[in-house]
Amino acid sequence: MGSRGVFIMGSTVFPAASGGGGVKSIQRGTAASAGNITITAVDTTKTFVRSFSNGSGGTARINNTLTISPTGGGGGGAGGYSYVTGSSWPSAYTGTLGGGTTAITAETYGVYLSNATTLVATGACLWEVVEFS
Amino acid sequence: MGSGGVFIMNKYVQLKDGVVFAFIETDGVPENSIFVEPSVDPTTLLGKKYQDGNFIDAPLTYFVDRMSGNMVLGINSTVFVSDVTGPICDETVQPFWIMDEAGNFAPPPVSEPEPLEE
Repeated sequence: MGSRGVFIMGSTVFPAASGGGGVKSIQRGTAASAGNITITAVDTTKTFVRSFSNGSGGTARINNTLTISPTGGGGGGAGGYSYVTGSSWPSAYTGTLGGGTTAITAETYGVYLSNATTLVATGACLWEVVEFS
Repeated sequence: MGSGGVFIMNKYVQLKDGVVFAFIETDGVPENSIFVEPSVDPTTLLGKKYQDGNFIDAPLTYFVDRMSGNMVLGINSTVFVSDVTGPICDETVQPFWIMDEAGNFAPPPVSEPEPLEE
């Protein structure tokens, strides 16, 4: 197609490029998770892919020493703190946190073209594959 | 491509672990895909389980994705079984619960705080 008409995608109409070297096909979609997406075959030498992350992931953690100052000054629960003891967790108090630093790792997702018919999604994202003639 | 220089874009969904994880609009016919009627918004099918030709609610699998020793620090859930990255649990498990050697989860033991000396 490309030089003669329009793309009809649902209610959206895409005017096609005029002259040679126009858009041959457009495919688009959504991934909700990581995985392989099968598309209609394209010429990978004449195709570009773009994607937009619509999900995120990562971790936040505390580095170094975190000190916990129990709320109030009393003991035995009367001072306003409570704790829970686990086998590998010394104590957890309600109180004021101080010291330590935090580190956050953020992840965003997208797709890449693995071969003529396969997109690989790294996570939740929107994508579009445009092939030129 | 259709006649008169237009593409007729059809909608398809694709499965992972039997659950819809992607949808695609294309003028071709991709493999491993399920055709979706034009009147259906395929985004509403994401996360649905495909069973006997119907799309039904997929069960959530809960799992522990962060631990410190045998203590639970983070819990997550997914409809995609292959996305599970830790021990499977149920929705009642909470942070700071303890996992035993058999993979069972229980709340941490609670002890009374020692009185501080005056």
